Amino acid sequence: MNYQAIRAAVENPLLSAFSALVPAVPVYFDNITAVPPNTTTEYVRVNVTFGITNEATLTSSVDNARGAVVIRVFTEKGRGPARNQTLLNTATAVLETLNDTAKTATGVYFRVSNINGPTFSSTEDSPHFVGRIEAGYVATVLS
Amino acid sequence: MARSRGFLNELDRLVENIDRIAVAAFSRGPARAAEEIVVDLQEAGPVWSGRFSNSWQIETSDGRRTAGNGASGFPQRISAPLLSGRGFAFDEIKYTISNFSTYADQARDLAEGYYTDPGTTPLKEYDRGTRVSGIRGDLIGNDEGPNRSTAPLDWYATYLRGGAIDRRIKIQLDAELGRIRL
Repeated sequence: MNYQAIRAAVENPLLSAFSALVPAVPVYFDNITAVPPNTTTEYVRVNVTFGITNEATLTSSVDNARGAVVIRVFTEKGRGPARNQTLLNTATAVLETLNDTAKTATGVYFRVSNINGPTFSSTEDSPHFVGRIEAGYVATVLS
Repeated sequence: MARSRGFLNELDRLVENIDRIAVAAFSRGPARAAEEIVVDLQEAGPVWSGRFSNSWQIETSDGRRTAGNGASGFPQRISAPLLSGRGFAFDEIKYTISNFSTYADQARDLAEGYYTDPGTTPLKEYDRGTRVSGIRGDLIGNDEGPNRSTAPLDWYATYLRGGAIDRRIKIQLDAELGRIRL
């Protein structure tokens, strides 16, 4: 099982999409300690988790993994939801594009299920307004 | 004539039995699955005082409900209510699992919250780190950090979307259907 390839299959397109925005929005993935606590700068946090690996398949030449992709968008609090939702649109578009991508002979075939959310939250202390979407995924590593 | 009426009565009884056994299996399977899912959630989720873990509840589509006691302490199992015969319909077998803790959304990493370290030792092993945002499990991993977390970030989304819940339901339904003897 190539977990890194699965992770890359969803992380790279998200990074590209947010980097292409003007201004570019930083994206932080698991175990990356780039965001200083309580920064007011807007940013995106992507968490890719793994649930079940190697479900029974019809052929032994593929590896399957299931898990969740959780994307949180942190934008400045007190300025309404518009900016947050614009960034969430970018994330949703990436996930939908992944689902539209044709299956290839090799590499990782990545599909997300229903995209849940967005849900929003904020607290008095936090400088951010947080928007969150999540989706389950099935990734097939093709040999 | 009398013989064929007797045969028809036997046939009626057999059909009733099949109905009764199938209904029981289809009701018990989801009930057992719901109980096991709560156990999974208790194991996967955060356990500090135990109040969140003891605040799961199971409700059926016909309004029956069982719930944890919401008290601190090690997580306790709860028994799922069975659907009543009247409430049973094959297209409406519904068990709802939810958590009635006031900070359930924060514990499941669904919303930001406030966190104060009570200074006590949690009932479950924990990781240390520095919390980056208002999300409970959003810790930068360094062992010296001031914050503690007893479940990884997005443990709930992982359980819900990562296939574990589907597998739990399948195992329990298969087990109940496997017990059917006609």
